[in-house]
Amino acid sequence: MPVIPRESHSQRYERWVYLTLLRSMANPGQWENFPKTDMHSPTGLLGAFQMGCRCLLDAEPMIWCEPGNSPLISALSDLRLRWASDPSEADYLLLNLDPSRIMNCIHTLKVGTPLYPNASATLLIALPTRNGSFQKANLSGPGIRGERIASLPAIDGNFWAARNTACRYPLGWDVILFSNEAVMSVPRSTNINLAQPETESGPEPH
Amino acid sequence: MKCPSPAVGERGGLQVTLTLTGQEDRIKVFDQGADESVNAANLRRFIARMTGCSTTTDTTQATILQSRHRIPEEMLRDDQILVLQVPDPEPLRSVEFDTSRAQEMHAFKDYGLMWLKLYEQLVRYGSFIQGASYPVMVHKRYVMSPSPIPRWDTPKLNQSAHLTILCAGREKRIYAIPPWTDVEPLEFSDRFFHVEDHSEWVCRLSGVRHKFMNEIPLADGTSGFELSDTGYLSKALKSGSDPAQSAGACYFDADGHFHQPGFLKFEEGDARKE
Amino acid sequence: MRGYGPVHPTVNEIRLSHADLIVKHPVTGADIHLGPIRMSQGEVVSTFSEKQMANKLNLGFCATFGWNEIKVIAGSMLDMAMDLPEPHASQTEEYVLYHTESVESSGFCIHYKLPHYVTFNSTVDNLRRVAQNPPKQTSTHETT
Repeated sequence: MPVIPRESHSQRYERWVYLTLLRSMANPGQWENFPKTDMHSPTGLLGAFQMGCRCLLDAEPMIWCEPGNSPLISALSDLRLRWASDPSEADYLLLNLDPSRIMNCIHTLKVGTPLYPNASATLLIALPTRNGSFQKANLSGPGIRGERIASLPAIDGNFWAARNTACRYPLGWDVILFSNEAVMSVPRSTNINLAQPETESGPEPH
Repeated sequence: MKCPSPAVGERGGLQVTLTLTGQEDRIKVFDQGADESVNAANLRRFIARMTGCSTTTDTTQATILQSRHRIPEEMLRDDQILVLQVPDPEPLRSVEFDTSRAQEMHAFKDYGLMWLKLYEQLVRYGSFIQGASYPVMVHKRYVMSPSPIPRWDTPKLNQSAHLTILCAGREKRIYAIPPWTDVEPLEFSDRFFHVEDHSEWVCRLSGVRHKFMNEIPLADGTSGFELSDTGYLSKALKSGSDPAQSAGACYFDADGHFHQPGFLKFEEGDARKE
Repeated sequence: MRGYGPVHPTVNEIRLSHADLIVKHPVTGADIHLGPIRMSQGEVVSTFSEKQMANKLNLGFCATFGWNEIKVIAGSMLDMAMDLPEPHASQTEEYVLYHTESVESSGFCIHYKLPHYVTFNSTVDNLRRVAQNPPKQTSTHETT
């Protein structure tokens, strides 16, 4: 009998994380829960964020991380990532301390070129608190049936407006948001209508 | 050492399916609509053995569907993933063989040659003569090859509930259509895309009409017809000629009407016009 | 590896058989039967996507000594492609050299043995439509 490879627990968990990310990209503006598991896996916000990073990153792309985020950098050290010195040259930006720090250079992020729209930045953002303020928005585009009312985390008063300015499909950047146990994606193809600019505070609707 | 494995037209889909599938999945593999062809049966057994997943021939029961050249008649749901095998991922190759130039045309949405090709077909033959792999416009931006599915299946991709992943193993290219995305066959405002006309054909096994049929040459020189989607055929056989009793809702209803009214258009005077 | 040439045929029939080898005796001039040898013959059909041949099926043929399914498929495709009126990219040096990697191209030719009846069905549907509604003959002097 041939020896059939069996999927290990950690491999299965990695595949589930990958599927969760796939589904979140296919359903913009919707929180997709990470798989519940009693297997040994990193827990908490850093854990979920780390699993997402591990799923997406390898030694090829340029990664930028907030200065002073040594816990994350050391947690990912085995991936042999290439670190970018400036956000404008990064393919992935890891933001899990204070995402609003990116605001001063947000207009310099890579949006790709007509020939290579894929040569653009992806923002991986961990939400520091689940009870932060949220901004109501009307989403439409691929992956959304008609329209979807979503509560986008108000990372900074101007973040989503800046995102709308940067995204001229097919150019633009993609955003993946992580909470403790769920992930939400906002790809560049999504239209965000920030009709109600006032922010609302309160627990995150799930 | 890398095992030299020739591309037999399955590698792309297989790579995607093996990446996604695990013990918890139930897969359906079909080729030309048939679950039991040698090719489909071999792939299904291989995937099940490698991943520990279970298998099915029922479209509504599957979590992941790997297909070559067909999309099932029954509608897929938002929790299902369709994997299509692609031999030629570049829709512009027939008008621009240089891949770099074709990429420039995509970059600037320069599809003039593609429209010209369709126009020439109209002038020369009176209708579009593209068979399977009919080019589509995705999200009103990119022309895409939907893989060699018949035109009957092409509209099923428009505003569909499921995620579609297309992979060309030989060319090492992968692309996807998210759920609820505009996927429109290329057509002019007065000359329209048409699906294959099987409206007169009746399945000789189940009596079902208005689905995609295989045409089987008979000894006396005539043709017999059978449903191409064998999973649907087995449901139709269970419930007489009214498969609606056991099958899920279909993209084309029992009278041949597409489930999105108005998406398929007909010229003035066309007998198939509703 | 990138696509294929202008011809993506449907295999009509592949025949593997024996043929009698008969030679003339050098002295007596009589025919002598030396025995059977293996022969393969392949027939493929295709419409071309270009020029005036697209509204009918065309035949490509190839025969070889020995039993070589892949070789006769490849040969009968070449038979069709060589007759094309205008040179296609697949007839350029760069394309040919790139695509004659033997493992890849044998796999590609084997794939023609997979069923293609759905795509063929779709093609036949077009041929019938064109035959039923031939394009209107437009005057060459029509100015509108």
